[in-house]
Amino acid sequence: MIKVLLMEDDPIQIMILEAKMKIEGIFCIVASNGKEALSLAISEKPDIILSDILLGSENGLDIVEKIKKNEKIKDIPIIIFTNYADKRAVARAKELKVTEYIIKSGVTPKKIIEKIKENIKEN
Amino acid sequence: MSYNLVSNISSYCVSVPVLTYFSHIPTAIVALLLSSFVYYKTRKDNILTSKILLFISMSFALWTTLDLIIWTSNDSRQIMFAWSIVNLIEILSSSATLYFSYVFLEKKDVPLKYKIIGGSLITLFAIFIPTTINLISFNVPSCESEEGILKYYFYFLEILNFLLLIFYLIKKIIQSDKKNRRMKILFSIGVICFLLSFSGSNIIGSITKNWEILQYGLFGMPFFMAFLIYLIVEYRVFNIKLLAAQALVISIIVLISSQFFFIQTNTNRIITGATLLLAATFGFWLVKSVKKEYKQKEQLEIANVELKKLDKAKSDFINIASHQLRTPITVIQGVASMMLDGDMDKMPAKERQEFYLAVYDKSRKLQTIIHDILNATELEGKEYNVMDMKVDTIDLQKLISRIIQDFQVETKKRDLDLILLPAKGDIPKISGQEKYLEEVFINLINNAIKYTPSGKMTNDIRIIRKKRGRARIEVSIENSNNSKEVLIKVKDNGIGIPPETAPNLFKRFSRAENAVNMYTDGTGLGLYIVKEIVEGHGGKVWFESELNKGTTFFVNLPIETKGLDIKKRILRKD
Repeated sequence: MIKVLLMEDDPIQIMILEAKMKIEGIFCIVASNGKEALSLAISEKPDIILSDILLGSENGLDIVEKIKKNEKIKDIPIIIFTNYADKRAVARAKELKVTEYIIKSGVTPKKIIEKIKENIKEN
Repeated sequence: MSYNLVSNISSYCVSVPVLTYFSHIPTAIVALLLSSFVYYKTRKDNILTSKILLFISMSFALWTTLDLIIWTSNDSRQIMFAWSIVNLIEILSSSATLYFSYVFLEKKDVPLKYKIIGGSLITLFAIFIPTTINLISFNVPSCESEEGILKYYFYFLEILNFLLLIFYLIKKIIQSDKKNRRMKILFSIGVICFLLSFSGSNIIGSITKNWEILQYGLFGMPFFMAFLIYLIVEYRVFNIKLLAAQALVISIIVLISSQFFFIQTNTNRIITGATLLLAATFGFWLVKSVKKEYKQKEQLEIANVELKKLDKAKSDFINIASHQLRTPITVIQGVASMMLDGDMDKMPAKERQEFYLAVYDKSRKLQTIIHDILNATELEGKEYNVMDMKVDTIDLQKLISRIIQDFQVETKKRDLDLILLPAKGDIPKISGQEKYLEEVFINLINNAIKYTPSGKMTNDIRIIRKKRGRARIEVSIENSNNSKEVLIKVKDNGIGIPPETAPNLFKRFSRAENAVNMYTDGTGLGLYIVKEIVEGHGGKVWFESELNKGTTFFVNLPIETKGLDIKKRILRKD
């Protein structure tokens, strides 16, 4: 079973993605802040991480940077999954060597499941 | 005695080439004028480089005066005096050049220990000036001094200065990055040529006894000085074009005027006089037009900076607004696509209901965001002022109580109280635009609701609520002492406004400044819209807030709408 760590703080979006993953047979763990995300990534060893950028008062990219610096979890593929498309944010994500940068409104839940599967297969 | 300075002086002393005067007097004057000009222009900024440059040109002018005495005088005492100190002045000039280079490139003063070493070396030289170590005797037939061994110390100091300068400049060029290299190379060429044309030709003259060569070197002085000035100003906030025009005009006038020393006939004097007059007139006109252009450029630059700021704020705003627009779309699209995929059928009815509710909520949010953006754009496009528009007679009490009624469903859901307190005083009808004023109160009440979480939200808030009582928003309308104004208060016991964000609260796109760290539902335009509308009615809006205790927004509206007064409108347009 594929295990996904979803870093998201909007309850409605969590609800939709969780439901879709459940239907597709994917196990979804949710973290709504950086601290939770880091400890869940270490303890649960997800196959892939989906991270938003605007996470309450936190910047998702700061959390990604911490993950990438942690020896135990740095190889987990990360998809930035956000509606925030500032040039600087995209450039920073690239620097952090994330697997993909996906704009939420550009994809359906079905498409994001495909992307998750694609990226896990490649690894 | 005819009026001709050269022939007059020549008749008194040894034969002197005319070139001597031309190489000494105008060059010294131009150099002095240029450096005084730069010093004058930069006096407020207290720039050390322009002070040193003034010193260099002053010592150069002194040097040329002394040198001119040596050339032209036939009084042995005068020649001996001038000759004895001329080398000291030269050492001072070349040391000052070294000093100048250091300060220019390092952008700081020379450390004290180097100043002490340099000062001691020069003082040592100065001590021996009155002795025979400096000048042994006066050679009457050649009208020259016999130099003593101090001249070798003079060569030593000059060469030392020159070598130090060359090594220092090479070091700086090697160390510099690509961007500054060009400037440093240009500077080095300028400084080296400057020293070569001045001291270099003097040393060669001293060694070869061919003093004629010195004449040509001096012509280089004003040019290299101009070049150095150009470099000083180019890398500072200083208008080079204006300075160049002024310097050019002054130099031309000085050079033309200096011709009066040599010309012999009245015809030439008239021609030169006319040329001088023309040069002065055109020069004045040139400087004036460059000044005008500079002023315009300066204004443009200020406008440009402002535009850039606004542009950045706008692009930040677009980033955040597009994020806010995309979020509801993501949800609506997501649910719709799941419906199409048949996912909904696989869910229990209750869960399905939540999905449909989410679509409804998000589409309402989308509607609000679009409304805000359009409203802000509309208010921005033209100066909003009710004086220019058709006005309604508004019953504020009726309007506000209707708005509060409309919010009841929302407040019930959020478990907070939204109430209209009994009016204080007799509330008269006011004139204004109802559609816009409605916007003001909807925005203020909406904000109060958003930032006054009830115990229903999370555990933490439930604890806070127990301490501070139920989430509550009170709206009140006052017309105390039957004044010509009505005061509306929207008071909540919510999270309050952090003092650091308070000053920017009413500014357009203000939220966008720290957008990345702040996730909220709004666009950050609500309060901007409120302010524009209230001020468009000639009213005032402000707030009082205490963190974690609550916020009160005040709206003061005139009964007879005046619109913005003229002064304020002008200020805002600026």
